[in-house]
Amino acid sequence: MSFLAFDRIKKSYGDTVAIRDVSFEVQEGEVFGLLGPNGAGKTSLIRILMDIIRPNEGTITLFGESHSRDHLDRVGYLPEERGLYTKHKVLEVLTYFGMLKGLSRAEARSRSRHWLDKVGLAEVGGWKVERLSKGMGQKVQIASTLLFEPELCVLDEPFAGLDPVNVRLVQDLIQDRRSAGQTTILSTHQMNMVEALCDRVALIHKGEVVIYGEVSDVRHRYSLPEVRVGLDGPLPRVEGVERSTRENDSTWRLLLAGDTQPTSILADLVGKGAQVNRFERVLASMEEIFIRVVEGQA
Amino acid sequence: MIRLSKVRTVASFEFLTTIKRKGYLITTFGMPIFMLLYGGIVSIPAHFISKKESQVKVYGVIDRAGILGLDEDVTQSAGEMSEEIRAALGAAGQVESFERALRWKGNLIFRPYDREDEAREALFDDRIKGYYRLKEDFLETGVAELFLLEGVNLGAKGSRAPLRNLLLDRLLEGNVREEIVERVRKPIAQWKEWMVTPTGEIMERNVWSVLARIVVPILFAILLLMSVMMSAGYLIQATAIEKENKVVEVLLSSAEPHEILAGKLLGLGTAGLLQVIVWFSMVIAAAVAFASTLTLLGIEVPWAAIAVGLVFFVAAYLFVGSLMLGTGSLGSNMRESQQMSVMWSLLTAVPLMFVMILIEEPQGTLAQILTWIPFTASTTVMLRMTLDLPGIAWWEIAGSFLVLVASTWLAIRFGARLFRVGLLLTGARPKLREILRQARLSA
Repeated sequence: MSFLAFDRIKKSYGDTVAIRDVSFEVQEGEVFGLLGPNGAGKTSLIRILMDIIRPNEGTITLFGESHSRDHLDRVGYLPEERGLYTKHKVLEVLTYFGMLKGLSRAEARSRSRHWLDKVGLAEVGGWKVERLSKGMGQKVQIASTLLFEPELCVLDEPFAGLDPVNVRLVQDLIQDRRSAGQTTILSTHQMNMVEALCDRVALIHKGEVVIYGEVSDVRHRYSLPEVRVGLDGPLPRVEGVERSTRENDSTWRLLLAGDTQPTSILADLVGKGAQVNRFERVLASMEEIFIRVVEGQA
Repeated sequence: MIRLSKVRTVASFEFLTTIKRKGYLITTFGMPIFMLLYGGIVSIPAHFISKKESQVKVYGVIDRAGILGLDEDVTQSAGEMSEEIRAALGAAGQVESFERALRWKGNLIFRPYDREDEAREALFDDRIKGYYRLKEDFLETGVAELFLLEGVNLGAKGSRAPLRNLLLDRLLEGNVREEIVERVRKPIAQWKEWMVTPTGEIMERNVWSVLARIVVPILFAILLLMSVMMSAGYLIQATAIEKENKVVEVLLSSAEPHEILAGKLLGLGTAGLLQVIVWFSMVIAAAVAFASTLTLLGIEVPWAAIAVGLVFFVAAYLFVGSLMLGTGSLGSNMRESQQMSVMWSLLTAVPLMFVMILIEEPQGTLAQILTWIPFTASTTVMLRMTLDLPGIAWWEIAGSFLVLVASTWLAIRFGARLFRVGLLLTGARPKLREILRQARLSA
């Protein structure tokens, strides 16, 4: 049985269909990217997983069993639209959220302190939430999501509003989870983060899964036949190149024609006396793939 | 299946959050203090008036008709206290202080003057407040003239009754028997009323007791209704804050809507109950302090009705609270939430709108109908029990309670569904049909 599997999930709001027929699996211990443009149905799918809304059709398997409410005490959730009780003290709020996930008061309090320390906010436990800056609040929320060490964690746009230092901190937390064998679903529009962190992805568009698989596979699958060439000197004329684009003084991007193999291009270049210092296959970035899929070019 | 640990967690969080609020503390402990202060402030002018009134006032009398036959100052009482009040205050050991405060004892002196210029000089010198003149033909005309310094002189009116009594005494003295004089002065010394029960038993009708039987349940009903409304208000406030603070999704991902709803009802209900206990303790403390007075006045605290009423009101709170929370959660802010839940408050207050009919006919058709409606059951049963305990059958109380409990169960389920839909609503409010459709789907 799968760690997490969505099977033919459908959800509509009145006449609007949010999710058509979504099926995919998430494996234990991976960082899974849930991607899609605004309004694609990602949030609806996450809310269905968290039992906040109910699907019209379809089933979910979680931790190898049929999805039930009790499983959710093992799932952390950082929603995109989030907030904290502004009039309460930070430690009180964290303790409350920990207790809601089944921790005892003492344990929730102790773990809250530990996680505040871990996100670099050890001193704010006694502060009222309203005193926190936006970034601090964001980190407190991440701490509240992770403090009960959930086996599965759903992070919806966890990098929003964070400076580069704190982005690195959250990246490290996600990677720590993977090292510990814990599973993370990452929903984000920051495609560089997807490339850096995710093992596999599902891209949802108009309520349907349009891309699903390992990040490297997806990138290969959606890449054009292109190579990047670094040269000390000018680019000689090479057979089998449909188009060449100069990226900077010494780097060109070559779009190969038909069945032309990159190795034949390299051999041709060397044969024509070009000083090649760099030669690599150009993989499409996740951002390019995302844009192409959403704009209907892929 | 409701998970009690979740309910307990939400309840304790809501309870502790509420009782630490400044507004709650001020209302709970400040209200009685405010009432005492208000009473104190109101009584300050009364105190000064009383102090002034308690001073001995002297009025001159020029008796040309020769009826009063005054050779020297005569002291008269300003008024008399009724027997019932005197007895009740006596039991509480308060007669002296009340007489002092209310000027029941003699504090008015009539001083005879032979000549008008003497009386006028005394008036100018402020030795007398004014003077009466009875002309030679007083017996025929009955005209008594009062002379006062220019000004308002409202207090002068208080000297009329003592002069009247003095005239009565002097006119009847020696002409009729002493007891006739007394009856002329005070034809009815005491009113006594009797009640005939359906079994033919004769019971004394105590005005205070009847009054208490009306006022006490209404007071308790208002107090308890107020606490239900206030607790429900806290519910709406707490939910609106959660919507505004955007913590709703985290909550819903950690507990089922009906667990959150139950936790909130329990936590905030306990906070409301604590408030009622504080208020009632103060009322009871006051009642104990005046216990002997209340007993003598025949005021019986309707303990049975209060006990049954409390049980009813717990159910009523859960019933109204669930509906208020469910509909209130559909609002996008505090104001909108209150507007949406106000109809439940109005329905709950219906018995108080018809209170006069219920008092007149505690076992009438209206009272019987209201007994079976969940919104009005608690107040109506309590009023009926207090006004006419033998008139309400036990099965009416039990049946009405069962209806209320069943309605509460339905309200919690319905409220929880609306709550789930309402908590996630943002932006423009959808149409009622769509809300109900979503509520049905969230089952």
